[in-house]
Amino acid sequence: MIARVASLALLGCLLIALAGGSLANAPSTGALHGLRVEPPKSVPAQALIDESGRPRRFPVAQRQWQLAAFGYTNCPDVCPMTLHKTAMLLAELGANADRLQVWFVSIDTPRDDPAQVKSFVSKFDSRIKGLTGDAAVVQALANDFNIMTRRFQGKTALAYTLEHSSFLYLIDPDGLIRIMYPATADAQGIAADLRQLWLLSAAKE
Amino acid sequence: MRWIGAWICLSVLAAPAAADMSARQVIDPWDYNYCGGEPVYPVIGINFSTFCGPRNQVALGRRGTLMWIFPAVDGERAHAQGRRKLSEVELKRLSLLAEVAQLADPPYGDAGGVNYRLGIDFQGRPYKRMHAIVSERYTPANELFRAMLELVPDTPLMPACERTATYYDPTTLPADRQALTEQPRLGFAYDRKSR
Repeated sequence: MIARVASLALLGCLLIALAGGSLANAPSTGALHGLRVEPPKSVPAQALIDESGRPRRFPVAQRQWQLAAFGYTNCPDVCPMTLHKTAMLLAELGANADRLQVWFVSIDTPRDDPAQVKSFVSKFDSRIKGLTGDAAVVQALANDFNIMTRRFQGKTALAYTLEHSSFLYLIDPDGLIRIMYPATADAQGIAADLRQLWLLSAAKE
Repeated sequence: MRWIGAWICLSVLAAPAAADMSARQVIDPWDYNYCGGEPVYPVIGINFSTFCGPRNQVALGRRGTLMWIFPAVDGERAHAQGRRKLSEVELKRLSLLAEVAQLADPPYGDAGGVNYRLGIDFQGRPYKRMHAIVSERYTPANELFRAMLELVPDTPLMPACERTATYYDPTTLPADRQALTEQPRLGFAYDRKSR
């Protein structure tokens, strides 16, 4: 346990060092808590289905900033912790939380129908919205976000686990990916980044 | 009464687990970017050179070994070459930079004296390949390039050149680069896309 905590602390320091280094040429902003995607990345929008069963294209430009997590509802560890973190982030943002839309995109299309996704995300915060869709479409989206998915089959057809990347992706109102957050980034750090980015956006307008 | 006893036992058993859960952010330190499974290092390969200089190569292998070849002259390997196993922290740093470099597009419009070709291969994901120019500007690819070179104890030969070009292929011989830049459409049109 001590080794694990030490390793996490080391990784945290590393992340801060990386983020700080990445901003060496951006004096107008302080140190970010994630990895800046430069130039901001455009990803083709895919036709998904939201948690209410309605068609929804993602990612698209919209009024709010967006934070996307990929996972699945049977995920035993990282997905619940990630959604818990996003719920804490929304709480941390307080009155400004409506400036951010959190998306949970299920990569487990055989098991995760819209109702299942809705039931899962609503346990963390009702403002988090779930997305699912056709397997090929979701895989195309995962490829565009550079997300690794690997299936480990259990004893029955539906008994399997998925190994997957667990980054959070911050998307700006133009629909461009701006920052990637590893699993070690915390809610306070992401909130600080958002406040900083919102200040910069306001200054530009 | 028996149910109440069972409930109390379960509560007592569950309490330390819940406290432990909140104390750590991830289940396994290696879960910096994966849910479960074995840690996977990306294979990263970089070829780089100045316009008139030899083709230098530095690469990270799947098992976490950094390898480099810095020739004195193309076709010879007299200047420096070597390999070393990287530490866990060094590998994590390179892996994180490779993740973001894989997602980001290569920069356009930079000017500089060193061109590089970068390839990233994470297991189970599309292979990423890009061509870029070293500059002071922050880009994930530039950060990855710098981070790789920082881990190499030797210094590559990158002579300043009398004549240069914005884009050239660092994997070719200097004479070929010269010939190709005289026909720029043939030389550089193919590698401006990332995937």
